[in-house]
Amino acid sequence: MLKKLKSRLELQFALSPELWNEIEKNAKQINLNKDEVLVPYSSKQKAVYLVLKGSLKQSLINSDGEKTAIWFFFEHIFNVAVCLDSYVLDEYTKYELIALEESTIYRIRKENVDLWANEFNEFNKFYLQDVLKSFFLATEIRNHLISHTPVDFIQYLRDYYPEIIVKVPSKYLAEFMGITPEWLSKLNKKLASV
Amino acid sequence: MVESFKNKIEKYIKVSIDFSIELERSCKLIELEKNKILVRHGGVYRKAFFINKGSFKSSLLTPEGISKTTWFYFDRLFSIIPIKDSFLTGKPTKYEIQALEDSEVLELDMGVVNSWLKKFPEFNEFFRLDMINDFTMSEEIRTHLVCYSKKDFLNYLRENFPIIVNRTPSHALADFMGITPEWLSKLKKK
Repeated sequence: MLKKLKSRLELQFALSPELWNEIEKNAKQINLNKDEVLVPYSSKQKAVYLVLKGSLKQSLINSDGEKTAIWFFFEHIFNVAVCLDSYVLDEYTKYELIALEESTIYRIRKENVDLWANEFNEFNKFYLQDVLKSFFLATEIRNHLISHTPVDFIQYLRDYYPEIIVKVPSKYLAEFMGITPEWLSKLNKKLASV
Repeated sequence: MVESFKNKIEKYIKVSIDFSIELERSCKLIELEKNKILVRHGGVYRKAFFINKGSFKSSLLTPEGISKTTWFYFDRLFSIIPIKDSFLTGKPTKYEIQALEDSEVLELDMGVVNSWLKKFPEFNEFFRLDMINDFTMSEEIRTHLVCYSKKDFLNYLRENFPIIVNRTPSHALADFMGITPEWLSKLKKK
């Protein structure tokens, strides 16, 4: 798996032997079974999680105490999972991360990320360009969720982010969209018949 | 002209004299009256804007051609407006940015921002920290909008981001929340 991590990073930026040495020393591999919790609610997790294989679901407990799916992470898109309230604001997280399927994750602590961003130009560039690009894309999706009708939003996901449609179980996708699984199923049928 | 921007950066890190001079030289000041458009749907904007004074709303066009409010920017919160889709890709933007009050912004060209990132370590650090901070807060707000009831969401905004409730016109806030202005007014009274 370390070999896969190295190839993945090399695809994204020019990885120097010095930085790889640091990553090898500090990234911790975590293997998860389907439905296994990676980050539990109310824990303090100042770390990022790189999805090397599989997928993750992020949930929030809403004001009625219900768990709601709010985001997803995959091997090929949105592959850096983080509980931002803990990571940035130093709070006990309101979020939970669980595996949607058998997954392999690398955990990297925030202090390493910050150090590498200051010490390694290639990592700094990767951080600014790729991580922020992921943030922007996530915002784009949320903006579409807020502004579009459910049917238009599904169509938008099909067109631009088919991996979300293919890999996320219907009940979680419906939860993310704020609709019932039955409604989602009707929308899917409607779009299939167009 | 660039004092507010410099102060914002200095919340994180000391600004060098060289970078101060560069800021003065490279930023273009734009003044807008209330309701004027800063960014139009379909334009290409490889730019970001820093709000010196005032506030803005961002809207997205739905496939039905309806403009829906998706975000707010203020001089004291979320004060950098990146034209996300166009800034990164060079493609025409799907967003429109409109002044909610008489406002003043500094225009920052993408090429200039990129050169600062390489040349000035303080800007690089500021950019990294500020962007992640703003993203964190915006994620928190959007997540709560999706998960909470409308009433609870309004309470959440009042408690954590009162500036949004106090400085945003009701019709724009209602549009962002996906409710009618009348419903918002009832929630506020409640």
